[in-house]
Amino acid sequence: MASKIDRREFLSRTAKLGAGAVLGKSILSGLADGPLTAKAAGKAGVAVVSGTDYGAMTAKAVELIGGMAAFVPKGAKVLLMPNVQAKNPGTFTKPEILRAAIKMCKAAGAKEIACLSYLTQAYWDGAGLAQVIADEGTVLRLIPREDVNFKAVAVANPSALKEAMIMNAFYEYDVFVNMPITKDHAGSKFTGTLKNLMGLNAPSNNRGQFHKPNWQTDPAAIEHLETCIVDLNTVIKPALNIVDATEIIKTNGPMGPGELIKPLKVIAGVDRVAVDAYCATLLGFKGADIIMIRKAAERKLGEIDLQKAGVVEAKV
Amino acid sequence: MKAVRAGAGLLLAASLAVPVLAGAEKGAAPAQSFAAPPPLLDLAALLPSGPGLGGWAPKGKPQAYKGEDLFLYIDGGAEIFHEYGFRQVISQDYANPAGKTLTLDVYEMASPESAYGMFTFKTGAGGKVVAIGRDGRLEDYYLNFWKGRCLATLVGPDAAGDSLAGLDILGRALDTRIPSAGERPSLPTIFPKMWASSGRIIYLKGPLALQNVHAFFPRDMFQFPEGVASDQGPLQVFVFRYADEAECAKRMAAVRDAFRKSSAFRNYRELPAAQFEVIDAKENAVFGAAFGDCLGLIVNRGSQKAAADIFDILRSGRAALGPPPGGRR
Repeated sequence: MASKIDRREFLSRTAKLGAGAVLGKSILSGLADGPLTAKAAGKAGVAVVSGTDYGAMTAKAVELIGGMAAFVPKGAKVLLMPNVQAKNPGTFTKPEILRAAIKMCKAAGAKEIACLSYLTQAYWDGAGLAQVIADEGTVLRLIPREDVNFKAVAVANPSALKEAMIMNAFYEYDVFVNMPITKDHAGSKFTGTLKNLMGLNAPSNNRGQFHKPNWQTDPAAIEHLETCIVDLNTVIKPALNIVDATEIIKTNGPMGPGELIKPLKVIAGVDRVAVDAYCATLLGFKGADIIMIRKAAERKLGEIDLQKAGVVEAKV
Repeated sequence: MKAVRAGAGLLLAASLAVPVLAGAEKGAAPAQSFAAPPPLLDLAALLPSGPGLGGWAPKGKPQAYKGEDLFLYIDGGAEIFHEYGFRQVISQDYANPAGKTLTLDVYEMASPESAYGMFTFKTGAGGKVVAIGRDGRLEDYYLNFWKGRCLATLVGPDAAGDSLAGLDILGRALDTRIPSAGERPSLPTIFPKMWASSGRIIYLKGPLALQNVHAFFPRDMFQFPEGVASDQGPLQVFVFRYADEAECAKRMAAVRDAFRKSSAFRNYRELPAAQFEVIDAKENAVFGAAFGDCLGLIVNRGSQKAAADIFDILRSGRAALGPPPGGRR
């Protein structure tokens, strides 16, 4: 597949958006896996679209940051990762948002679009996302939880997590689009783009490294989970983040049920820190209130100052 | 700022006008946790089934998870359950003739106080109180209650009448099958009774729950066996209870030192009556004081007088609690 891609054109495009924002080992082998760079000139850093038509809102948000074609070259294999953690209202990425993303990837000329998950089919059925994937003729690959299906990846200059364990299948794709729902989380008060990447990391690693034995909180490092999440985010850099902030739980996350609030927004952006900093405001926080966002900014993974990041809002 | 202080003053005045909670559980020290844990409950036997369920019937097989395997069910959200003392859970879907589905989860926790604690963490101050189990609370499309060592959560597909009726019928059926009522821990009664309706009260068993309510330090400086927190308008009030006065005094010294030295706080100063005050990064004043085996913290917008008055309320509440729990963790 890689040979069918116009590498020069692709690199030209991605250079404008931040080379590190696209992973694609198959078409980007040898490309420096560096930190996020500046947003595309003239495009929004964080696009926020309000409304009630979630699909149209998703399309508009992506358009505001340059359009899907700026991220998905023709012939690319695209990995989408919505959140399917639970089936309670406000806990999973809405099917309409996934459907819109799939359609945009198709329109951009993606060769293959897939979702990877170590959660079972029941989660995808419960969230209604399996039906979307089937309707759109895309692929849901359920990855067994065993470590053999994950690849050890050293974390450079780790604060807490020395080694991540990323799905082997992840490296078969050219473009990764991170699609969480933002919501409350009992472990970190907030979840969004940064934490969603734990869905690509081996359950054994999540369990044994991000959390302490017997699931106890380390009294000497309550922030250990957040620190590990930031370390993980130095290993994986989504090309694009699309966040569901339409109907979300404000309490009792991540599984719910909890108090449902309706910001009725879809957010898109390359900069994970800026996107999460914006999403935090929807739950009543500032970006700096959330440890993982603050630490990610300190690690230069993105811009926590929303004025500097540039937020563009629209309605559909 | 004036409005905030006025709000705090009204709240305080109202609090002073009512005695602290004096119920049947008052004065009862929490049970010791040295004994071997009781056998696991047969959770499957608690699941409602058969006639009398308004047309709701089990759909599919129940899922059950024990101990550390909870993360297989609540991926990413299991840690807080373990902090409170999780033992096992069973989850069963129910369907009605109209094709609606609701889900019933029963968690067995380590003790009634664990079940109560997790209940207070999970539930908000909103919703409607219902006479199902202990403290049954219906919020939008879901119902929570606790009873004995069990915590029950029933989630409907929506807030329509037939869905809420299903929650009610199945909730009541489950309630009758849980044999033991259990008792609440006594510590929350240190707060004025009206605080239960004017704000949220959360029983704390460890640092993660505290971190969710208010993040003071990145380390567990408080190391409390049990605690209780309440949001009351512009105020947040915390009480941590230790094994005895000596343990509390030792912890208080460490906490004072941490506030004094932390770069996240400034303007530490000692106040009369062995209180201290420090300012946090959001310009909140944090007041601290020890009373007996309890360490109290009040976070507000800087009314020293209001803090002193609330500490007086807490001292009275502590006096009514009875003997210290004695070395629990």
